[in-house]
Amino acid sequence: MRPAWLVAALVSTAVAAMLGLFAADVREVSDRFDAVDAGLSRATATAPKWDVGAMLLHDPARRILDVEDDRDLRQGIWYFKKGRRTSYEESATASALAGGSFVRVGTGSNVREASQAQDLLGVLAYYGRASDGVGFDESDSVAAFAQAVLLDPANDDAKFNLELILRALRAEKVYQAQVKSTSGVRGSPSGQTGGPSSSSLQTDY
Amino acid sequence: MSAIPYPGTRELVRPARRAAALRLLLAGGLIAAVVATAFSVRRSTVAPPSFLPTDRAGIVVLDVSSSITVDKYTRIHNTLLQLAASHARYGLVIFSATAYEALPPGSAASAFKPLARLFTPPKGSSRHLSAPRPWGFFSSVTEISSGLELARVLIGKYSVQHPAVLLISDLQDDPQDLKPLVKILVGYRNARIPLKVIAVSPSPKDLGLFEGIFRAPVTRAPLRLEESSSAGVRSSHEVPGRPVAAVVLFALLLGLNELWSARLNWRKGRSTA
Repeated sequence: MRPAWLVAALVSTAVAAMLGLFAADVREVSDRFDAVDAGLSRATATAPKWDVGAMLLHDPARRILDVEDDRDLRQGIWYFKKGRRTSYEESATASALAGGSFVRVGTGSNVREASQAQDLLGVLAYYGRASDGVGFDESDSVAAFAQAVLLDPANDDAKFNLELILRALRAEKVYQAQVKSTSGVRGSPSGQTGGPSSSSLQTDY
Repeated sequence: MSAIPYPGTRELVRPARRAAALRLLLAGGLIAAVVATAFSVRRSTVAPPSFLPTDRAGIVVLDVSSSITVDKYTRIHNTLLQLAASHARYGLVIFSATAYEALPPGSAASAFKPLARLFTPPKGSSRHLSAPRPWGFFSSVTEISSGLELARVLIGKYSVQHPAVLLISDLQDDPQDLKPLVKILVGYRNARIPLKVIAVSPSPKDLGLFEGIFRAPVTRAPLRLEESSSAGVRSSHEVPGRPVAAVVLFALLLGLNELWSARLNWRKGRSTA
């Protein structure tokens, strides 16, 4: 056998092996996302695990598939759900982690996921305001919902939430104007804001 | 017989000179590339460290909350000294529960030197120290959002172009501060203000939390100044790519030239008559 053919055979074998390992890594990423999605729908108590050792150095599969936004969005959704079913302190931590994920994905390059993240950020901001009045206010929710609609006009949840909160704010303004004109006192008597109840915002992700 | 007699060597003089010139050119290029590489490595090693991109106007947000250990003092001291040596221009916000503007944006980095002195641990000091004077009185609680918010306000107030913010903190944030912190992050993202964090001896829990919130790795403050290469100025010690590529290219060309185009050697023959 001529040396050139031998070299060609060796190179071809090495390339085939690399492609095989790459395919295995791609499959692993896909399986991991399926498992995480299943866990999210069951609202599992443990955080999704992403760190699975890749067969190829520097994990080119994840780099090429560009799964950072997908991963962060799912992590955000998991923390968002956790934040709604835990104690106050854990909830604050979980909400902050969810918010961090939504902030990152919401300004990312994947428009559809950015829109989802902005919508969820709007809901998170609204819950944050509704529970203790610290940090976020309604304008943050409105801005996030509006940004979600701008990014993806087909995002029905974001459109629904934006309309709901705008209507509620309009109703609150009218109510406050009425109270002011009748008694001269600002704000609602029972501390109600007139906004949508926490359960009426859509978070169907 | 070790030589072939050839009478027409005069015709080979010009090609021989050309081959020699090419060889000299390639060898010269190789030497120049090696020298350039060595010079670049030396230059980059002594280059002042930079925690923020050099084309950005930085604002440093420094946490001076209490419960500071000798280790934290030392790390803050070293980080401030590195900033002072960077010859860049910064603003400075100091915070614990509240924040105030200590230096306006655009101040010379050398202004950090006297500040670093305040964080020099006294000799023979115990493990725990109080916050350095003059900040001891307002440093019981840490609210990182207050520092970051003031930095953002200063960016607007001074119309800072291409801003970047550097947070130096032990990341022991008040749990009540987490929601406002996310709101601040939204503002930073929307305004496209890069935010870098230097963690001063953080607990693994706090480090994990903040890496999760910021969605970015957090740099650790150096305990010793020579640690800085692994703490945040990694790029200043990297071998420069272009000169190394030039060395490889010239070496390759010279090798190929020697392999395929090496000049023939001849000498004038002795008369046999």
